[in-house]
Amino acid sequence: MTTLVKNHVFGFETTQQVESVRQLFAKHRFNHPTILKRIEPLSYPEHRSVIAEKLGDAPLDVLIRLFMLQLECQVDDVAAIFEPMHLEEWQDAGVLEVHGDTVKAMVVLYPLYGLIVAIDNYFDGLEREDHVTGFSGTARILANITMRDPVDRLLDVGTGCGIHALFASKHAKEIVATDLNERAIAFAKFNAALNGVTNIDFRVGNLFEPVAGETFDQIVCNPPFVISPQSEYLFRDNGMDGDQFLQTILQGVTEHLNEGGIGQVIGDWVHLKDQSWKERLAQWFEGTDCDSWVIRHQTKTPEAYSKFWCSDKVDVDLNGQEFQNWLSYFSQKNIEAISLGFFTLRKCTSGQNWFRIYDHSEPITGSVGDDIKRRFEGQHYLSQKPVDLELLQAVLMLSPGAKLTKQSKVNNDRWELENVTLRLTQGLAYTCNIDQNIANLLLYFDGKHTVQDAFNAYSLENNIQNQESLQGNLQTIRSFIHFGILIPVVS
Amino acid sequence: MPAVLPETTPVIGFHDPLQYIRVRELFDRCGFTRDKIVQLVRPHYLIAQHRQAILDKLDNSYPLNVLVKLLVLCDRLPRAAVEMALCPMTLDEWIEAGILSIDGPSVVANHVINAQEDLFIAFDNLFTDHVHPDHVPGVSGTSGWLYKMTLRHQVDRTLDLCCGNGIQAMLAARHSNHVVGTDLNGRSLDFARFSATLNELDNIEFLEGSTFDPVRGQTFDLIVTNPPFVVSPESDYLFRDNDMQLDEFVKSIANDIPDYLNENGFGQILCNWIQTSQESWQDRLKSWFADKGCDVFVLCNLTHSPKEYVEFWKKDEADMAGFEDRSREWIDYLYRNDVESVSLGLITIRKRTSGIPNWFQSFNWIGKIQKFYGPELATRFGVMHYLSSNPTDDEMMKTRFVFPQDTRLSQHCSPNKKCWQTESAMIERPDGIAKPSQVDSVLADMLLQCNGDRTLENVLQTVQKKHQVNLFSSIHENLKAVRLMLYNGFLTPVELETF
Repeated sequence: MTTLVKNHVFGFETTQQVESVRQLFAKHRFNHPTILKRIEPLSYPEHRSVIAEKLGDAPLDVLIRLFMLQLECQVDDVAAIFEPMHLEEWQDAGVLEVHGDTVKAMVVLYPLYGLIVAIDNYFDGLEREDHVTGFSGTARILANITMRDPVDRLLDVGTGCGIHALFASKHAKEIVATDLNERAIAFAKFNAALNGVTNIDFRVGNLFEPVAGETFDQIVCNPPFVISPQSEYLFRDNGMDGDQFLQTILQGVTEHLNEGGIGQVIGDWVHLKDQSWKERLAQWFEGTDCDSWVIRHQTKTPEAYSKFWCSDKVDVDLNGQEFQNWLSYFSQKNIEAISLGFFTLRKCTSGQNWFRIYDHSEPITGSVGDDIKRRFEGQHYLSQKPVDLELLQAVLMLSPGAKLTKQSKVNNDRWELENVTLRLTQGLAYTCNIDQNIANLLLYFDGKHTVQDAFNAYSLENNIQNQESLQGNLQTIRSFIHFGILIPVVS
Repeated sequence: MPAVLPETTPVIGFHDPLQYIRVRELFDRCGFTRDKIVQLVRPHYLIAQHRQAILDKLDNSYPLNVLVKLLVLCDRLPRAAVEMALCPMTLDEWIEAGILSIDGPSVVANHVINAQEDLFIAFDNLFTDHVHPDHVPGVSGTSGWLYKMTLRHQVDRTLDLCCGNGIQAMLAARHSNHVVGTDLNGRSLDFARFSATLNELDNIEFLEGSTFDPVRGQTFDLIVTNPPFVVSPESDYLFRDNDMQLDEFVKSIANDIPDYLNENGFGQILCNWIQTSQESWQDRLKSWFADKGCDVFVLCNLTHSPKEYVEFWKKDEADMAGFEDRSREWIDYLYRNDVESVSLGLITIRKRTSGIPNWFQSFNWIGKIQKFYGPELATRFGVMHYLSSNPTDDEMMKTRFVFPQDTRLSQHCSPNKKCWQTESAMIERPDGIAKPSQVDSVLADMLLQCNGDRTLENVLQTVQKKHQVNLFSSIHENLKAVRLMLYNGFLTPVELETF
């Protein structure tokens, strides 16, 4: 439990001070929607100066300039806004520095989904290897796919500035968050205090070392997974060969889960020449007592992958030579492609474990944890390879976000149906063309009756004599379970 | 014959009118036509690696292949092969005309001669790395869009403002007694004159000068323009940039066009315009034509945020290395000037200084522009004129309407017990000028009955019977829905004022 606010990097002395800071930000509406209105439509790291020109003297504008744009502000302006706190308190906390009549922030403070988060300044390039980054694209995806059912103990491995642990503080009773980077832990502690979160135990140490012998109901991890010849940055590179680091983490997750516990990890893996990547990944989970589901999000060629990371905005110094280094690294290691994906693991020591793969390239927006949970059950059901007779006895439910679009064209004086599309609007997006009759049959899967009952009711109400034709749809129903359109209901 | 003989040596041009006839004979004999060229160079001859593959495929033993490699793809070819392909014309004639050059044992083309629709069109080599400020580009996407949207009724006088390589002027020459093309870039006029002569169009006059300067005091029945409209802080290229702030250059043209139009004349501008936090783009465009005595119809094809807009132009950039910095400056320029978005679209105006009040209408429209829309655009003006003349309910009931057969209906359904219940339904025309509209089942059926043979009254009676609803009890409300369908492009009176 963090009650100590001050740590050796920075932080306020008393909880009273932290409360004052919280009140200050609330008073001036230093929150995501309000700030967006001030700085839209530009992303602020790249267009700092032009955004700064547009800001005025209002307290919120000064806070944006000071903490988000990392620009110097007038001492008098800032002091007036901070009352009744004194600037000295902020200086002592290591958050601000005063030079003459100007003041500058030592860290970035920005609002994120109802939280205020401190990270390292990213305007002046990356000078330190223990740089603490903010909420990246992959961090956002992990936050979106994380299951949010209440749990007792949750572990966030490689917590960075602590975002995943902070998000989890709402659904987990106790949280342990680890990071090798001492500076990151200092930021994370500061962030927890600033956001009034008291149920996170932050520990410095490599991966699972600080939690040796402990187990958890849920584990989340957004590791430094970039596969590169470099190891410059703790937050990005890991110094291990290929995807070994990811494999190590996944192994660790399986060892630290309670029975029935869920692990969710995001990461990149390689496709080696002359070896099926699916078989390779399947081997990672052999003997781990875990059911494992891999969602492959995107696959890049070595060229596209190197280009993507070499042009990363934070890496201002990378040049053509770096790019070539990356390419020759991949060619030496026999790597022909790199995939980004998400792993969902569930500890299950009884029965036979399964490993399945699912392709999903659509963007992942909004919280889809509930859907991941439902689909995991669907994959679990399919892994048991139910024969037709078993499937007929299963109870299935149509996905709650299922919508249908019927498109018609003009044929003389009537509308002629041309095309029917089914879309899932909740969870992972999915769209497919569908036969109108099958679409109608789907409506009989109500989560209460068996497939056989659904067939019977559908036949009766639609005057279908030959039920055998319906049995022919069982393979379609299996694929609907795979794509999350139908969900097995566990009694 | 060229309409006006240039005084200095043109960038491109034969000195003897008979030579143009011989070039045409040569092209005819070799089969150098739009269809054949497209067949040989497809699909992506503008992409370097595809271009090389296409070149490798075409051997030099056929004159058509040689002409395509030389004139369309700007390849370097052995002298003998070129001489054979040009026969009975001589290589010297083509060199003298500025089209070809000798380089050691090879022949290279200085310019492109390609075909567009059924016209030949000449412009600058597009495969060079170095683009001059007075570069004359080929037929761009926006240029192709403009000519596909151009009204093609027969007129007396047409003006192609900022005519570039002359494509709009040449296409208008078929349905105009006389055409004038103006451009600030003298080089582009050399190309335009060359192409016009090659295409045997003798009713076009190309005049050098800024926008309307060369035609002061003249009036026209049709004015088309695809001006350099890019909203940027730069003015590197004559064909793309202008040195005025934001969309001021387009605005100045828009302001002037009505003064150069005859009564009932049309003006069409393909351009960008901006939206600021102070003013919607619709209000901005309305203000451009306030008190100008014009009906205005706007098709807005794309609307980009400043960032997207700069990305959009990025693909045209030769100098990618320096682009990152310049793109940041460009975005900052837009942001600093309070630009919320930049739209690309077509503004069509009709000068009408008397009668019913002028109207303004705009559609967001993402049609694929694969056909010629002139007649449909003319219909739009007819329908809007009909609506603006405020027909009474009784008049409408006696009118016969037609419903476009390319309409698509999309019904969006959600599960409700044992049926997919329609929550909303939209009609749209993927290839027609119309605004996607919400409909209910009665309206969707009513539209189908409007086949041009029956009066609206008759249609309503049929629908009323079929759906067992009373449409006549609140007839005024129901006719409002019919008026909206007219407004949105889903109904047309059979008898319409035409031009």
